[in-house]
Amino acid sequence: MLKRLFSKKKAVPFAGLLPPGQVLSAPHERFPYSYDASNWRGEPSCVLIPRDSAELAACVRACRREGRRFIARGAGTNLSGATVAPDGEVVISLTRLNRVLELDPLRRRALVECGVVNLDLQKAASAHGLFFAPDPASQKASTLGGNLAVNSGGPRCLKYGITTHHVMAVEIIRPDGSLAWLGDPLGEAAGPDLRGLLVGSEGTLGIISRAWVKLLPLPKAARTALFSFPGVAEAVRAVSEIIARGIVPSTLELMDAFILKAVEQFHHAGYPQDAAAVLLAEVEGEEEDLGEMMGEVLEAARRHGCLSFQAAEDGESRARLWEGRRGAHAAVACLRPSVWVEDGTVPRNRLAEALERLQEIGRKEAIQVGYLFHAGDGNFHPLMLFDDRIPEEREKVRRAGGEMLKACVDLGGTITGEHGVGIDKLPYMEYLHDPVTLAVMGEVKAVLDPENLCNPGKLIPPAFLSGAAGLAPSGRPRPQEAREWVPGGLAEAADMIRRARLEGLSVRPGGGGSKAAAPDTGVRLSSRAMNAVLDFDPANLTLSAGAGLGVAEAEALAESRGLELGFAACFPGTATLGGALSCSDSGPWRESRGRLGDSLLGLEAVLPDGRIVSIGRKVVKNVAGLDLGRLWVGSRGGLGLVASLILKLYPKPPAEDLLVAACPDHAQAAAGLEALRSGGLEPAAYCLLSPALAERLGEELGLRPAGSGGMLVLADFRGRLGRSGALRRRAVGALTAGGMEPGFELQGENRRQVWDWLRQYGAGPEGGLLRLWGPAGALREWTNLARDHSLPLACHLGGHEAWLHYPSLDSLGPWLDSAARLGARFSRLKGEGPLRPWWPAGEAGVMARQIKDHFDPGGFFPELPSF
Amino acid sequence: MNALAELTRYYDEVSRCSRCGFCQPTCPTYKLEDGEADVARGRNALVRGVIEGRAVLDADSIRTVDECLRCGACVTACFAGVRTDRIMAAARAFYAEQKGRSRLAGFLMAGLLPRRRLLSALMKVLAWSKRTGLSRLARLAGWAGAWGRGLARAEGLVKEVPTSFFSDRLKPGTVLPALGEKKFTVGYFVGCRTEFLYPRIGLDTVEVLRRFGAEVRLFADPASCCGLPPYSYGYSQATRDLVRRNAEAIVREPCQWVVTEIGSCYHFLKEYGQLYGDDPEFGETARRAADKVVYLADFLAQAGPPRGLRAAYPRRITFQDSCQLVHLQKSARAPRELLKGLEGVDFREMEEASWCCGGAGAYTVSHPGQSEPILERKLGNLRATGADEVVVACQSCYLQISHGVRSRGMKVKVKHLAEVMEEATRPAAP
Repeated sequence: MLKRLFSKKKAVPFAGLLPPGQVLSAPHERFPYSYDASNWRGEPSCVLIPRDSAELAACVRACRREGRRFIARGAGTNLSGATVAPDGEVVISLTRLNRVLELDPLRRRALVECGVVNLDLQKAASAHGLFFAPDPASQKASTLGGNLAVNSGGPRCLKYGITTHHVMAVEIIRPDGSLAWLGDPLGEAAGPDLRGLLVGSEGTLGIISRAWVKLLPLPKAARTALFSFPGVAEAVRAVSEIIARGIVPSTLELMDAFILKAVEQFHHAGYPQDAAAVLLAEVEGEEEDLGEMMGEVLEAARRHGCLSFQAAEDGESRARLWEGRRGAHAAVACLRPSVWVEDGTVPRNRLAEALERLQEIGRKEAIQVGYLFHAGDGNFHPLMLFDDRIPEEREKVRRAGGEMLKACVDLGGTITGEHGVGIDKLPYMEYLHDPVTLAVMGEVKAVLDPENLCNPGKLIPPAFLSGAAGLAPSGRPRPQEAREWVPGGLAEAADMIRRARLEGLSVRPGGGGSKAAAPDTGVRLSSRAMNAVLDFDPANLTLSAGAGLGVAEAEALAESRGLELGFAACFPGTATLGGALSCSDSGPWRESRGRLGDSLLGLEAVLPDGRIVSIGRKVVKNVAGLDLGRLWVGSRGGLGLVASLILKLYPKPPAEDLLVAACPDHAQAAAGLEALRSGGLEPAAYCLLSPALAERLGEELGLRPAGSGGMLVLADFRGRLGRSGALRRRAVGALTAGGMEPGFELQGENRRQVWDWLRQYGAGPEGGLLRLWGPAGALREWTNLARDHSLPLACHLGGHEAWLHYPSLDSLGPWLDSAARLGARFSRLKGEGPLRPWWPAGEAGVMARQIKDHFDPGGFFPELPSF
Repeated sequence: MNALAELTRYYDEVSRCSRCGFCQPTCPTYKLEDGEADVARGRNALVRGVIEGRAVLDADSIRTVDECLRCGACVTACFAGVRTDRIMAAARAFYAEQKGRSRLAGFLMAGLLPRRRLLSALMKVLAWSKRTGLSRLARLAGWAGAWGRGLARAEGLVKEVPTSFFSDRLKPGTVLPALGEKKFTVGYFVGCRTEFLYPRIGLDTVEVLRRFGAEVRLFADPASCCGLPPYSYGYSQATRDLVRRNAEAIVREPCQWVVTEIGSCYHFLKEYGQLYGDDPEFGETARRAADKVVYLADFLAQAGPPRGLRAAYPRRITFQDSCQLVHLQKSARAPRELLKGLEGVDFREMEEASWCCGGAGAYTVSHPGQSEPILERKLGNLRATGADEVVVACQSCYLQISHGVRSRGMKVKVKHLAEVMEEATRPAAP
């Protein structure tokens, strides 16, 4: 329709917007942008090819001015139709925004443009001994913008997590052409995690133009082995056991007999032909640990009927083992003209069951299907063979795919683990999400893109895009006597919230009360009675619990099965999971373990209008729709009450070791960290305590290492630390070479005592706790300030952040000045009183405000912390 | 209609493209501008669209088909191994059939190439004009239109044209005995670039074959060309004539193998069976001919060196793959093994060694705008190796990289594998 209108109008579209050659409007130029790697087609009315962020913003503004809808497109490798233009939209091709703008090996961050090909970033990073963890199968071709837009997975996810975990901040061009930075390159921005909302939004909320991503040190050594099994069920059980043993291989890839035969036919990779399934496992780490790890993998495999096993000792044999896996899709693709790949995920311990149901569907439709599994994640790909020139075959494959995904949902899984929704999975969104949740997704889209300009018709089913109708005006809360309501469950909480609104009562959600005092007006809505453990599934590494469950209780429960939470929130004695989530209290291991939001798989929340949103499942890979849960991360109750959470758990590392050293100053501490890292020693946390804090620690725990300066360095190592203790000796060596004097090496209970003490420090009604993020210079300045003012400060050099315990708001003056000067950021974990940020919240603040105003128009709930 | 039916023979092949985009990172033309049209999936989508009546091949859209190097990098990257190289040749043939081609190209491909004597005479004139400087004068004068631009670039690419051609030195029909014990009988296929531009490389090839124990036979009545250029540019009849003539000569020659040192000729000779294997008139011959052809490096690696090989002088070398050899014939090992086996050689693998240098036969002449930046990228990778010499396996690369090195004032020497092997096996001076 648009196309026809357009061809009548003879005027050149977007004339003068971009230099010649960057606007494609002739039919033969537009045609190659009418498809992606899915079976969907749709020709754009025009293709714009900006070469930098400024040109990109100009393109978006021009589209808006002319009322043209637009689609951001990277390499066009997605499998969901997310980048095709079904209604003649304008395609904005981002492949020329392909520069790695900054690569900071010291801070392990890279600033990239969205069109950088994933593998090109890997190459740039590897020159510094670093890598970018997300490795989708398409990584040779796909762009980072695309990876971020669908929140890609990849074989390495099992160990390293999905794309969003490695994205620190994104710059987006909003639908009106304005520019917003979301997130923080070094830490976590205050307020709702809009960065997390944008990642995985498939270009429906704006275009990600640049991003700060996190890089990790390349693993020192790896070992690969191939195990064959008499059946897929046996292999899946072996996978469960491997995980239950606390081994986290970097990959656990499983292939069924159909794939094996195809692979052997075309690649002769030497895979066993008598097997019904093979499992490719790879472990990474310290060379001296690998043998033991692989030994445990082998033992687990043997216990579940492993028939044979091949280990790769060198690069060449490792490449050979991988060749079959890498060539699997290729081999299957040679069997029929077309292959369609579905992308289901189920809780990892239900894979065998899922496979049975899916095979049944394949048989019923008489389709040849091979199965590839990212088994450790519960994610799998049925490869269905057909001929896309035959409509009946297309139809059949489509039907089978839908049924398969339905089966996954029935088993507690999801309709897409890593490929995204696009157009392809739209019809299945209702299998997974309830209508309210879908409507909320639609409203978020309508709030942030009111004219529906950005990638319309993708990700969110159109029926739920009726627009941001919003709430009926309900006035504003009136000051009323303070009271506390304690709902016992989700429905009751929703009732209470609706009632409060009717009665004009302001509502302040709360948990254990560890971080905020009760308000002096309106309702304190406490989740503390919603503290049930709803589902603890150690084999699947998940915990579902009411938001009121205490952090300490959750930790104890996980520990009872050799597991732990992905975050170490402060004040564990009183804090609840919901409270920790609302403050995004990731704890001292953030840089190595990830943000708190990264272990959030799902949640239930009551919106300020009383509607109940339920998002997520017990699966670690799930990209079905907007990652709504991120809105409640860090929003401090401003968007309603979190009622329950699904959390990802982690196997407890087999060894932990804390080195405590006396340290004269920040420079010495920073040099120590450098020395450790250059020696290939990666502390999980590296923390410098100001004299005031060190003194208290010394007093209360009796830890006073010899040395002057009065500061302490805590270097914490977690993982397989080598049986021989060689790593510990090297670490001590590195620190002493830097001039420090390591006084104590603490393990087990002794080590734990130190962290528990630190986490609990500052609990109590007085004072506040501020997290500050900044460059190395800022950390130095804050350390000096803390010394001069005798304030307790814990400076996480590895995580680029400092935790400041302040007695009163007045005492913050010097920090506010310093942070303002250094361009630093903060977020408050504990404390009351007005504390306005010194930086303009800018467009990120505007976005947060728009969302807040939509869901809480009268301002019944607390302000979001980003203002 | 007939032309469309011909193109439709490739419908199955082109339909196997799943549009996954894995061809993008390896396609030299895609990497110029990252444009979706300029990569295998775009080109295949266009051809599929033409077959299904959803797209047209016209003066605009043929551009991307013409800009394909046909290097086969996409075939290597492709899951399904879609033969975009063949599909592009078919698309060009379809277009030529429908719309006709430039008269000059038509004359070169169909009129001149199959006629060895006429071509030879013309090349003599060109050689003379190059030596006398007349050609430079002509170039300065601008000649005429598109003709002139293409010829002027061709003239500039070639440093010198030899005074005598290969067949002036070694007459057709000659049989050269093996040096030392005779272990094999091989025919030698003389490609046009060996004949007219680089007879030296041909002579070295023959010499090396003899030193490896082969009796070398030259065809009595050789064609001038393997048929690849007319095939690439869509001249079906000229291609078929050349293929038939060569195939018959190859099968007729009483030898175990027919060897060539030109990567692209070798590839196309190997294609005879695939492309013409079901031809009612000479299908069987085409297949047998293809089976008989061996690439120089593969032959030498199989035959085994006469004795320990040693580089003529110590140096650092790197190797530039012949695209069609590495991507379409999957032959990458033998040349490297030979080179690494030379004592005194410091072999350095080049980044993107399997990437096309932008030569691609007549491409460097017909598409200088693409060819030059592709060459530039290649030269950057070459510089990074720090090599003294770059060894090539095809005369097309030899011409292109020599031009690149010369025009940028680089010190790197360009050598053909045959030359290096000749030096390495040369008997010590008495």
